[in-house]
This record gives sequence, structure tokens and C-alpha cells, in this order.
Amino acid sequence: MSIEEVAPGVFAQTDYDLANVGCIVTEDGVVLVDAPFVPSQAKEWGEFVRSKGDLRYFVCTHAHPDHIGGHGFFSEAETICHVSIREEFGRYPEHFKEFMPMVGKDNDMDFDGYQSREPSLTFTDRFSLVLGDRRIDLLSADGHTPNHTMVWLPGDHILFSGDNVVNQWPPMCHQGIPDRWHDTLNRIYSDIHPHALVPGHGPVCDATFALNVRDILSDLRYQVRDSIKDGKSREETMEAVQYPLSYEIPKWFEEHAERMEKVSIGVIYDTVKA
Amino acid sequence: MQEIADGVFSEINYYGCNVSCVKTDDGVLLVDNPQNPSDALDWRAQVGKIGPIRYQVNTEHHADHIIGNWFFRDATVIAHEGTLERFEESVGSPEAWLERIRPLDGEGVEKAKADGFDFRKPDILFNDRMTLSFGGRDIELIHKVGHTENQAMVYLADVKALLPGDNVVENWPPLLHNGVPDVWIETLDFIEGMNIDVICPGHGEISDKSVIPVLRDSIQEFIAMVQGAIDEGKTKESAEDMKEYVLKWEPIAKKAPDFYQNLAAKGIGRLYDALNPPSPPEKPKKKRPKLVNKGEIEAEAAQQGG
Repeated sequence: MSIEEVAPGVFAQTDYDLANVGCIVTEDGVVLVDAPFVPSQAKEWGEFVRSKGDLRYFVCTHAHPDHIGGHGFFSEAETICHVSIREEFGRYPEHFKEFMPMVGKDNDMDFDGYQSREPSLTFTDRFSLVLGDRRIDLLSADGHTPNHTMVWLPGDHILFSGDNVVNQWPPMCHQGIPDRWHDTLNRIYSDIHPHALVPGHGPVCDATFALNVRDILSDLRYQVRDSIKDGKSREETMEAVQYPLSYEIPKWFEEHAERMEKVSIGVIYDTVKA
Repeated sequence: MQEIADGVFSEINYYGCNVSCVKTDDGVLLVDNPQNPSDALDWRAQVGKIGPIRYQVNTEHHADHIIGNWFFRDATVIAHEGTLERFEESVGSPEAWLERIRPLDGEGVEKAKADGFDFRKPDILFNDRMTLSFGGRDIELIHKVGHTENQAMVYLADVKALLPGDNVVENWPPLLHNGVPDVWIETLDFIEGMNIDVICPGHGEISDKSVIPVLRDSIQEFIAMVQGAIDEGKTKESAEDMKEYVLKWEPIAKKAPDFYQNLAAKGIGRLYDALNPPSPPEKPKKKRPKLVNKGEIEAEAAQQGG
């Protein structure tokens, strides 16, 4: 397995299927950022993170299955999340069982040891952990989802952006807020400006990648605007507009990704129309 | 200690602020801690009988609310982010603090020293609202500016109980040395709109919402007093001399009149500056450089050269 130590005691695993996961080691235990989606990978990640210390907290960036679903493999950690997603945890692992075949992962469904854990700490805007000499700030920022949680390490200038920034992966706004996402991406680049950025999907990058995502969203918006000018309907626009991507996504995810891209274009259409 | 609502216990007789303990099926959460070591040790023994101590909340950064954290140090400390920033403002160093309270609790100070007394600062911070869900209870923390800018209030919707720290005080003056009086009044309006049967104020007797209008009047009187001093043309220093107004609250006069008059003077000065901001120092006027035209310069150069 390929784990990158982004800074001393700050680890990112960006090679698992679907979402990235993070691990922050402190003198007072380990903090996890999201959980691997595929059970066998969750178990492998579990071995690694438990070798670093006691699991204290599990932070969930948002309630999409690829980020939240595996949380039950780390149930000894207290779960922290934005208050708006506190009810989502109880849906697992049952929700997994519906979702896995959609993304071609129904051959990896061993939920032995899985125990769903409701969040014990929820917040509305900003929340911080001070563990040993490490401060970990959780920032709520609308984007890929409303109230998306980003994890900021001010001492190391590292940001775990969740899916507010993705690298070599289409930025989906099927449940997002396109205009607010644009603002959040500017905030990531201009105000937070991390030296290292662990995106929700794809390799570790830096602050400039927030601008790449912003540019893709802007491009989609222009395409949608032109489509509306041409008199196209919502459905026609969803068919006509293309994601401006310069990379390939995994074959097994293509079909699902295409569906989500279309829904995202519909959301952008509604925003432009409004 | 009295049970003010189901599973919510408060002690109002320690020196310093009132303290509370919320019982859940999975341990207890404390709201503020006694400042004097002997009281803190007594409180630890009492709440230890109720359940293991999981969390402690500091409602603000003033010494009487935070300094006892040490005696419950294994429990996670939660506060508004401003409380960590200002943690040392009113306590100095651990050693200096112990010497300061030696006259109040000499025996306790010795016990604290033997226990390696130190600051125990917050581990978890929030800026707006957060909820702790454990042991079958939801415990809500709400940030509202008032007595300080970093007040955290603890709300238990299940039993309609509010533990607001010093944002609500009973038979106690509104101390505003770190506060914002007009926003405090808005906070009181907010509290009046909450579903509350019982309040454990930061100081004073266990109350209900009937204490709110009394406190609001006191804050409005305080604002009017300072505005009156400005209108009369009093200087900040002479306005601060009105500090003895706090002595009309009997517990203050009995407890530590000089200490509280000192805080009152700071509160007056803070509001005086807010209502009547000192004018910015005059910028020294820059001398405009003398404008000369190119011809003059050339003529001068030619003259010098010649």
C-alpha cells in the first residue's frame, strides 16, 4: 500500500479505490480523516493507523458513502462531523450493500467487525482539537456538499479538503452548491493557502489545485449558460454539456461517474437559471 | 449540591462561580470548576459518586471558571476558541495563582502544590455551536457574547435547563470588564426565547427566566450611567470613579469589595471608550515639496556649472 507522509505524523493514502483517507498522529492519539470505502482496504488501513497510536477521533468530511461508509471499521474512535450529517451514520453498513454493486465493488463485502457509531461531537461552523502540540481545525465550507468539512493543520500548512478539491477526478456537484463552492475554492487558494493539500480524490497537491477545480466549474457554467442561450431544455443541457477533463477515471467507476456528472450539470443549470 | 433538573446537579456555595454536573448513562460532564483547591477536591469527590468524569466545559476564561480544571485533568476540556486564547489573562502563572489564593485556602494550596498543580487548557474548541451526544443525552453548547466575548452556554433541551455561565447572574452585578453590554442584552433576549424551566446562573441562586429582566435592567442602567458621565463631560478617569456602584449588590460588598470595584472600573472604562472613542492622534502634516520646473533646474545647473 502506498501511504504518503505529507509532514511528520501526517499521513495520506491516495491509492485506495474511490476516496482518499488521512491520519494525523498526535501525542494524545490518532485522528482519522474519512474512512476507506472498500472493506478489505479499510481493514488494511486500520492496521496501519492503529500501529501509530490509539484512535481518538474520526472526522467525516461529508456523508457520501465513499467517505463515511467505512467508519464502522474504526468504531473505537469518537466521531466528529458537521451537525447536518449526524443522522447519516446509522444507514451503514446496509447502505453499502445497495451501493457497492453500483460501483462494481460487490466482490469485497466482508463487514466482519463493522460497528456503526453515531457521532458524539457535532458542530455548526468551526471546531478545533488541541492534542499535544498539534492543533487540528475543522472548517465548514459549502461546496461539493453543503457544510463540507475541511481539516486544516495550521502548524503544518496542510489541508484535507474533502471533495471540495479533487485531483484527476471530476468535481461533482450533484448535491453541491456551485456558487458557494466557487467562493470556497477562492478561500482555499487565497486565505488558507495550504502548502500541501490532500484532496478527496487523487494525488496530494497544493493550493493551486483549488483553482483547477474552480476553472472546471466555471467552464461547466459557461457551457450551461450557452446551452440556455441556445434555447436548450434542462434535459438537453444535461446531455450536451461535457466535463472538460484531461484524465481518465477508473473503468469500473465510469458509468456511475457519468450519471453523477449529468446530475451535476442539472444542478448548475438550475443555479444559472435562478 | 442540588438536583436542579433530572440528572443536572449544581453547587452554588463554593467560593467563585457556581458549578454544575450533567449525568449521562456514559459518565458525567462538568460545567465550570471550583477555583479554590479545597472546593475542587470536594466537588471531585461528589461528582465522582455520580459517574466517571468524561468532559468539562469552561463557560469563559475568568479564573474562577477555569482554574479548577487541573483537578479533573483526565476529562476532556471544551471551550469557545476565545477562552483558550485568553486562558492566562486572569490567572498569570500557576505559581502566582496559588500565592494569590493562599489567604483564601492555604490548606488547599498546599494540597494543590503536592498534586503538581498546573494549568489544564481546553482540548476541544468551537466558535458557534456544538453538541455532545453521549450516554443517551444531547448536550448543546451555544456561543453568545455578553459577560465576555467568548461565553459558552450549556443547554439541555431534554430537561429545559440552561447553564449559561456568567451570561446570567442573580443578585450579582453585570461585570463588563471583558464584556459587550449591548450584545449582552441581545443575548438575554435570545435566552428569553429559549425553552427553559430552570437556570443555574454563573453567580447567585438557582433561577428561572424571571431573573432575565432584572439583569437586563442592570445592564441598561450601567450603560446609562456611563453615557451620563460622557454627556456631563467627565473624563474616563473620573467616570471610573463611579465603580462603587457594584457595592449595592450585597454579596459583592461582603466578599471582596476592592476586587470587584477594580473590575467595575475596568468595565466603565471599556464602555466609556466604546461610546466615546478617543480621537486618533493627529498625523504630522507633511510639507509639500516645492515644485520646480525643469527649466529652473537646468538654469540652476548651468549657473553652478558656470
